[in-house]
Amino acid sequence: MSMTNGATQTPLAGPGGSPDDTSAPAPPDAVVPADVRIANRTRKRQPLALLGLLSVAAVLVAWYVLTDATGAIKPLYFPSYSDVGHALNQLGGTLVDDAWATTWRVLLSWAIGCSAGIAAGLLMGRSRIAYYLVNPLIEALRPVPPIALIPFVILWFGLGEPGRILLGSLSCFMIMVVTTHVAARNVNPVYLQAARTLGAGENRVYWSVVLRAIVPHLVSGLRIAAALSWAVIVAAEYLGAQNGIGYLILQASHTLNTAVVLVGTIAIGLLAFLLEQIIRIVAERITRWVERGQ
Amino acid sequence: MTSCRHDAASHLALSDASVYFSIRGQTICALDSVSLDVREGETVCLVGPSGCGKSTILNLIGGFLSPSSGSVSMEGRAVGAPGADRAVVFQADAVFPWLTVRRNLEYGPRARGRFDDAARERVDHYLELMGLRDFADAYPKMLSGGMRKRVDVARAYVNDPGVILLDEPFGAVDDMTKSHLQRELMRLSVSDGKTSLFITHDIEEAIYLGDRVVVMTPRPGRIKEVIEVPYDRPRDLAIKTTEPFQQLRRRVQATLGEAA
Ligand SMILES: Nc1ncnc2c1ncn2[C@@H]1O[C@H](COP(=O)(O)OP(=O)(O)O)[C@@H](O)[C@H]1O
Ligand SMILES: [Mg+2]
Repeated sequence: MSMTNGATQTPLAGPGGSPDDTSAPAPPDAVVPADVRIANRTRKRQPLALLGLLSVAAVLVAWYVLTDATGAIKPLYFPSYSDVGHALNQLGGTLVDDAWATTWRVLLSWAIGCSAGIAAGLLMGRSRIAYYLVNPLIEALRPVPPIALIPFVILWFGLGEPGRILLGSLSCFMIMVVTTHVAARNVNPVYLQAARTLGAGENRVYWSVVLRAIVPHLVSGLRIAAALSWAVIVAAEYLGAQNGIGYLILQASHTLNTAVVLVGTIAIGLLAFLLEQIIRIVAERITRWVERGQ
Repeated sequence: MTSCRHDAASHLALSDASVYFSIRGQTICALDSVSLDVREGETVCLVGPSGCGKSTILNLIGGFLSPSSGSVSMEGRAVGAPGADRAVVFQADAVFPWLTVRRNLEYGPRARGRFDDAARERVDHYLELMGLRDFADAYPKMLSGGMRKRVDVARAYVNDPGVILLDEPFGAVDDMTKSHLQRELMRLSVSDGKTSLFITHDIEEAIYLGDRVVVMTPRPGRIKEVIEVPYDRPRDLAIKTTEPFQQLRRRVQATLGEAA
């Protein structure tokens, strides 16, 4: 955008800096001085992210004050900084192994569940027969918390890996099938009509319009599914797993080792946060076209 | 009146087309025996009060709707499902936001499996013609409303359709931008000579752009009168302020007034 001498421009475009329309047709490029200042949005970016750091810091300080500093809370109910340091030392490499085991399960069930969910959601959008066949089942199963299915899963799959992955996948599947189907159904019909009048056949309309238009919705579904996947996998690890953060927490709680329980909890929080950030960064790249609010 | 004539050069024809809709058990007549011929290379502008069935006519020709009775044909054949032979510029913003401006223009040729060097040249040609060259790689969200409309129009022209149907394309843009867009459409009508049906509720726009102005009555939609516009192309925007133009405008206005 070349906005040099603002005085002669008709201010048609808003402060957002959209290219103005009066310069038609094919305006001769205005000469841009080398040291031109790029216009900034006038609304200041407030350092609100700092507030988050502030609240985290406040909790850490309160923790320190209530445990190590004053001993107001007994270590049994809530471990102190030094307890946690001990626990970390003690755990060493096993913490990394357990964290990796859990992460791997989460990623696997997320990948399986989400791809199956997206595929099923698309199929439901494509075929009315598939929709009427599958939708009642999904609607009936959807409100059931995945954890509630644990007894059946144990019955059918025993205490092994497949059962845990199934539980994680199922919860992701449920989120993605609904997200995908609803998003596909709500694509602005004018895009579908435009594609058809430009010569696209039904298949092309589907993959070049529907599949593209729903990406922002899929992305939010994928984020929700990832978060849920951590919760479900850790819970599933309480059952017969030989490793993983859930297993670690369960073992520690048997011996009332609250420091290890806390370490496990923090580890899950950090891992989930990390995955969320990765998804967010990738998502921002593939949804650059989306108009965002300020 | 030319509205019912079926001459050899007729390109697009509605004959006795009626459309009935059913809304909550009530049957309403949206179009009542409309006959209209659009000749090859001609621009016909359709004006009428809101709800008189203008979009319904466009939906018939576009293939989104089939008439309750009567027929719609293009080059002598009944029109079928929507297709690339009938481009549509909708009133709503239909530019694909997930594609860059260039990719939007390429969509038609790609969809038809004809994305070759000639198509690439057409894309460049219309980018240039519509003043979009500098924004070829921008996403539509970075463009103003008028700019997006240009993308929409360019996308229709790139695909080289038999007719172009425009449904109040400039209804949502400000007056100044609108004048520029009208001038660009005028240039396109000279350089490309596309058969077009242009729907608007702006009488001056209809006269400026049209070879004929078709005035419709309120529901049920009928054709009230077809008015020939005597100006040659290209037309300068300045003709809008001339007395003969204003006389014509008053005439259309009066016809619309009677119709209402
Ligand atoms: N799909 C539909 N179902 C029911 N009624 C409709 C439908 N489309 C249009 N109508 C009715 O038909 C009439 C003509 O509509 P339309 O062609 O959109 O008018 P215009 O474009 O001239 O404003 C209106 O009264 C509208 O309510
Ligand atoms: Mg309309």
